[in-house]
Formats: sequence, structure tokens, C-alpha cells
Amino acid sequence: MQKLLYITDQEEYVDHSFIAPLFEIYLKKYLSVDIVYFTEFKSDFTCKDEYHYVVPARYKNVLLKELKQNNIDLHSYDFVMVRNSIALMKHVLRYRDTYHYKALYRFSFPKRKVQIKCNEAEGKNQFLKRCMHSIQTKKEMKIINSCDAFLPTSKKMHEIYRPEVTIPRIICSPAINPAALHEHQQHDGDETRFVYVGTLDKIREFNTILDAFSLLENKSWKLYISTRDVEFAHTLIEEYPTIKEKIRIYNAKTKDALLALIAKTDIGIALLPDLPIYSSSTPVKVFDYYSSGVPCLMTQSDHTSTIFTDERDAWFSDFTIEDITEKLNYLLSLSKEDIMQIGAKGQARLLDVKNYETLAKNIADQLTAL
Amino acid sequence: MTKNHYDVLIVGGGISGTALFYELAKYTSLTSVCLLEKYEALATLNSKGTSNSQTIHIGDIETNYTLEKAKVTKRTAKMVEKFCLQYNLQDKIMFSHQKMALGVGDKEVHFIENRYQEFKELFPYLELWDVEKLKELEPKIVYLDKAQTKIRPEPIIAMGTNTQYTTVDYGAMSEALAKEAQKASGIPTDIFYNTQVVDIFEKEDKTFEVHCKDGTIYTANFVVVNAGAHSLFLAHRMGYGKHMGCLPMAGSFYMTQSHFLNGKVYMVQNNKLPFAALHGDPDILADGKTRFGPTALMLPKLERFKPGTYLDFFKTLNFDFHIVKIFWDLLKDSDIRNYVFKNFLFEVPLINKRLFVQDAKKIVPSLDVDDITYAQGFGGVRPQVLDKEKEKLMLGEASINPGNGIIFNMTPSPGATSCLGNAERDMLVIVKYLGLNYDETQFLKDLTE
Repeated sequence: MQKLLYITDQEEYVDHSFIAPLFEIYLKKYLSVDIVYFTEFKSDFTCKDEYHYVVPARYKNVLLKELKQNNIDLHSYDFVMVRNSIALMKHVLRYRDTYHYKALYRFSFPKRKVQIKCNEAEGKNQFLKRCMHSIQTKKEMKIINSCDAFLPTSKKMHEIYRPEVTIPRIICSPAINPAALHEHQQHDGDETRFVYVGTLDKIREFNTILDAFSLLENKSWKLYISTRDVEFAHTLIEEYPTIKEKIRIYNAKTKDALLALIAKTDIGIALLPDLPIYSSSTPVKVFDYYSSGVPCLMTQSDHTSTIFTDERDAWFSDFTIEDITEKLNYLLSLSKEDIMQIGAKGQARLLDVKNYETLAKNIADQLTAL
Repeated sequence: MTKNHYDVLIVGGGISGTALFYELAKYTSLTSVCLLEKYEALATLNSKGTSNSQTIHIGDIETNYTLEKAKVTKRTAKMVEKFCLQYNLQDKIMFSHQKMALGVGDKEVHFIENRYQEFKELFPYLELWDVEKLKELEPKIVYLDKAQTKIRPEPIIAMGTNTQYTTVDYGAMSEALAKEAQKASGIPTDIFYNTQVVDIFEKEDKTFEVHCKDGTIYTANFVVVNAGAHSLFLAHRMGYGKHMGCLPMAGSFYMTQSHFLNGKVYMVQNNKLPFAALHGDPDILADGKTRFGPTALMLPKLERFKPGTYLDFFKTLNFDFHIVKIFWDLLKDSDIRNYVFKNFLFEVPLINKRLFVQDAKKIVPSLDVDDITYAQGFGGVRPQVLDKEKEKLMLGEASINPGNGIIFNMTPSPGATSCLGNAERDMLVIVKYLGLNYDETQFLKDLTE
């Protein structure tokens, strides 16, 4: 079996997002996968088990040397994949000929671009940062083009954010984990429960959604929010005194806790402004919702409309107060059974077209062909 | 002038040297052992109670320890506890305090919660303390103001305990180890004070000649050098450990005017730094006043509060291109650069206290400059080892054992905690090398769980 070393820029204790099952479970059917995480707090290298290594962040620049010093046989790897960190990718490329592996770059999200957008939304001047971003992106393209394959989250993400990358592309998108589906739990409340999961910041314009909620005449609803940006969420809902009692804010610490929270709600919300950073891939939260059988009200994009059909397995809405209000009113008129059926259909659809089982096979086939 | 011949000769009468002295005398069949101490008493340097944090570093609240490392330190830390209990030294030189690792801000809180889950099986007594619990246990870390009316805005959480022995006067323990060694054995167990070793030579008959500054020469079948940074100095003189250099890091402390914290409060450590993060400890030698520190300042000498040793520093640093590379790698990191600069400023009169308080506020937000004073005469030197082959700063202890009857140990923190564990390691080497017997059953019964 060929061997892959996956180096992620994530922290040891981070709940490793929805894509973790791909590397932790499904790819292992086709490849032997070792994973490197980093720690900002511990001083020494640790083998968590046979396949997981935790490396102190201070060794990022000399990672392969550190692995070697801890008896990891670098010659044994056929592929070394780096997630998001160009500095790490550069380091891995430097030793490609020594250890004879294929170097792969995984691009999960244009984080720097998003940060600039967020800062701009807060009114900060980002002229210099934009210039730096352009220069850095050019440099990064060169490094990525030196790799053997590029693994963006979606085709669109490649075309919009790294268009000059010309090496073989292998799509590595989030998908649904067939082994981690939560059954939808019908709650006792008469109201319809909406849920929003994920980051909250100015750029996501969540106030548009709250504006729509505050216009609803039907008051039989609740909105659950699970976010790490708890303070931002509290500040934001303070601006909506007429509905703030209907909103509950959580900060689910683990994926299990999050899925358990979602399972107790009726409809997920994945409404985002029409920006390429959001429309270039399907938001992970959509997979979170459907994993619990909860259907989703989402913004329509090229991406989402290739998977879902309005009114059949999801609901689409434009990102305007009027449109969202109209859609919410419609959803409040549906019975719980109707809603559940849409959720079940959506889950089935995702299992059909976007599940880690098939994605892993596809990625493994393409890696073997490199 | 040759004085005496011994089976084993130990150079250095700190906590590491006396621990080995004790174990050899009590648990092996050797016929004689000698301890040479440079100064007029045992443990006058880093093992002295005022030179270190007086902490038993078991690995539960030391956030930079991995689980694997904590398993090792737990065993050695328990040996210190067992020794003290065996000789009824609890509440005399070993004390129990509340202790905790405090996480401040989302990232550290997340880390502490996860670390607690990972470590609670190894340390079942650990508890996770939220703000409400901390208000009861250690209110000063919760409130922004001295009147304790406003809670600090950042999220905090701690993992800790108040059921364990936490604190030892390692200076007093060194004396206890030496005393019990001499009581335990009918063999010669000599200690010579004011005896500075300047050179060690290996003789043709495989024994060693230890030359002292006063001209005395001792001979021994086996030599162990437990002399802090001078271990490497002596190793280099014999041609050993040339792949290592020594970077002496001095640590200073600030003391509160009165009892301040109820127990030990450690912060989450930055893994880039080989030194303990700033912490607050009740000082058992200063009526429980809280000691904040240590700071970390590179000092061009091997011994603090003693004259000389500047030249020894330059020799022990073993300066070459590899050392430059290690420094370069360290200093190109802005975190380390800022840390070094800040710690330098902590030693500059007039501004030091003000700057230090800014850092210490992470533990006690209401702390102000009037609450603390620079702890004169407190602090020591940690001989951090530089590995020139790997081109990196080594964290923790280092030992050079060429296998020919001599061992050199450098034991910066947590060296005091692991003194009996390190001594056990060396004792087993000596027993094997000299063909001695060793009472393993009694050793394990006395010192391990």
C-alpha cells in the first residue's frame, strides 16, 4: 500500500473540521496515512499513536529534520501533502529529491483574502495588505506549481484564487461522512427551530438575516446559533431587542456536540453574501446540517445548485432581507413532517453525490496515477 | 598529594549529587563513596531554596510536558515525595499547596480543557476549575480590581489540585540526602567541602584521578560529575561532549509584601521557550509570600551570586558556527526575540518592576508595582544545553556517558524533581560497570509507588 504523510497547519486539539474523516478513515482504505499536527504549547515531539505525530510549532521550519530525528522513515512516503502553509510546502519541496516522494499542496480556503475582506468590512484601510497579498500570491503560485498536484476545495476555488496553478488538480472537497449521520430528533416544542453554525463577522452580514427574522409576523420560531464568536453574536443580537429573546447562542466545542445541537433543530441556515469566497464551494455547515437530517435554507450558487434542488431537498434564497423574509414565512407554514422529508432527501442526495467514501476512492485513484 | 581512593566519586553537592550519594550508599554494595563540594556547604547554588521555584514538577500543571514525558516525571517526582515521607520531612521541607495551570483567553482555555481530558487518567486527582470555582480558590486571578467587584473580561479556566505535595526546599533536601546516606551505610561516605575540582584524568588502569584546586588528588573507579554548568566544562576538558555547548540562563523573581496567592499558579507555556512560563508560588522560605517569576536572562557566567566563572562560560559555550546557527534560528523568531529583549529589561533598574507587572497581570490582573519588590539574592542559573549536532537548544536535562566509568550530568529544571530518578539511572550504570550488588526490592519499596 502506498503511503501518504499529511501535514496539516492545524493544532493538536483542534476539532479537525469535517474533512478529517477523509484522511483519518476513508483514504486509509487505499493509502497508509500518517498525519502531522502542531502544538503551540508542548515542548516535545509526540507519537500519539502509530499514525499521528504532534510536533511543537517551533519546529515548523525544520519539520522533516525533526521527524527524522524522531525515527520517522521519510523514505517510506510516496506522497507528502501540506495543508495551506506555503512555508511548510517550500520546506517539503526542498527534500523531495532526497526522499523521493510526490509533493502535494492542499488549499482549503483563501484565508488571507478573507481576512482582508473582514478588515475592509470593519472600515480598515487594506491597501498595503492588498498589495502584499498580490505579491505573496504570485510567489505562492510558483511554489505550488513546483508541486506534483494541487488539491483545492473546489474547481471554482482553483479558478478564482489560484488561477495560475497549472499542475494536475485533484478536488478535495468537504463531503458527508456516511458513518457519522445523526438521526434527526423531533423536539417537543411547537415552534420551528432554525440553526446557524459557524463564524460570525461583519463580512458575513448576519444582520441581514436578523433583519428578516425581525420582520416575521409569525412568532412561532427560535434561532439557535453556535459560533466561536460568542461576543460578536451577543453584541449583534443586542441590536434586535424585539427578537433577542428568541435567539440562543452556543459555542459547541466538539463536532459531536455540534451535531447533537443541530439534531434538535428543524432548519439550518447557510445564507451568505454573494461573494466568491462563499460561492466557490459548498459551506461545511451545509454538510453539518444534513448529517443530522436537518434541511437547509441556503444561498444559491453554481456550487450549491449542482447538488441541491430548490423545494426538493433544500431551499434557496437570495441574500436580501425581502427574499429571506419571504422564504422564512414560507418555511414557517410547513409542517414538521414536510421539513423532515426535505432533510431526509437532502441527506440522501449528499450521500449520493458528495460522500467521503467515493471522494476518497477518487482521490486515491488520482494520486496513484500521478 | 593523593588523599584517598574511592569506588565512586561524585563531583558536586547539589540535589543531583547528593541524591546519587544517597542511593549508592543505601542500596548498593560499593565499599566507599565520596562527594566533593566546591563551596562551604551543600546546595549553595541552584539547589538552594531561594534559587529555584521549590516546585515538584510532576507534569500535571506543566503545560509544555507531553503525556509521555509526564509519565516519566510522575515516577521521579513521586520518588522525591516518598523520600521525604520516609524520613518524616513533610511539613518540614516538603509542603502541600494548591496548584493549578491557568488558561487565559479562548485559545488557552480550549487547550487546558483538552489537556485535562488527556491527562486526567494519569493524574486522577486533577480537577477542572471554572471561574466560579476559581472565585473561591484563588480570587485574585479572577478579578480585575483589588476590591474584587469586576471580573476579568477574558475567559479563564484552570486545571489543578489541592490534595498533593507540591513544594520542596531542595537545599534542605540535599542536606537530608547526605545525612541519611552517611547514616545508612557502614562504608566510608566522605564529603569534602571547599574542594573545587579543576581537572579529571583517566589513568591507564581505567581509574580516574580527580585534581582539586588546592592540589589534592582523589582517585576513583567511577566518577560522576553533577556540577551544573561546570559538568560540561569538565567534560570538555576531558574531550567529551564537544557536540554540546552551555547557555547559562539566569532567573530572577519578584516577591509580594505579604501572603498573596493561596497556591501555585502556572500559566500556559509557550513551547518555543525552554523556560517555565511566569508563575506565582508561595515561598516556603519567606513566610508564604508569593514569589512571581522566573525571568530569563542569558548571563555570561556559570554561577550566580558567586565571583568569577566568566571565562568558564566562554569555554563551556564552545562557540563555533553551530552555536551561531542555533542563536540565529532562535533570534529570528520574533516571539523569542521579544522574550529575550523583555527579559533583559526585567533586570534594568527603574523600569524592571513596571514591565514585569505588565506580564504578571496575566496571572493577577489587579497586581500593581507597589505589590511587589525585586527579590534580592533570589534566583539561580539554569545550564541550558545547546546541541551542536542537531543545531538546537535542548530542553531539560542532558547526560554524557562515554561508557568508560565517568558520567557528566547537566540538570536544569526539572532536574531537582528528577534527582532521585536520574540518580537511579546512574546508579544502575555504576552497579553494572563495577560489578556491584544492588538491593532493587528495597529501592523500589522505599522510593516508588
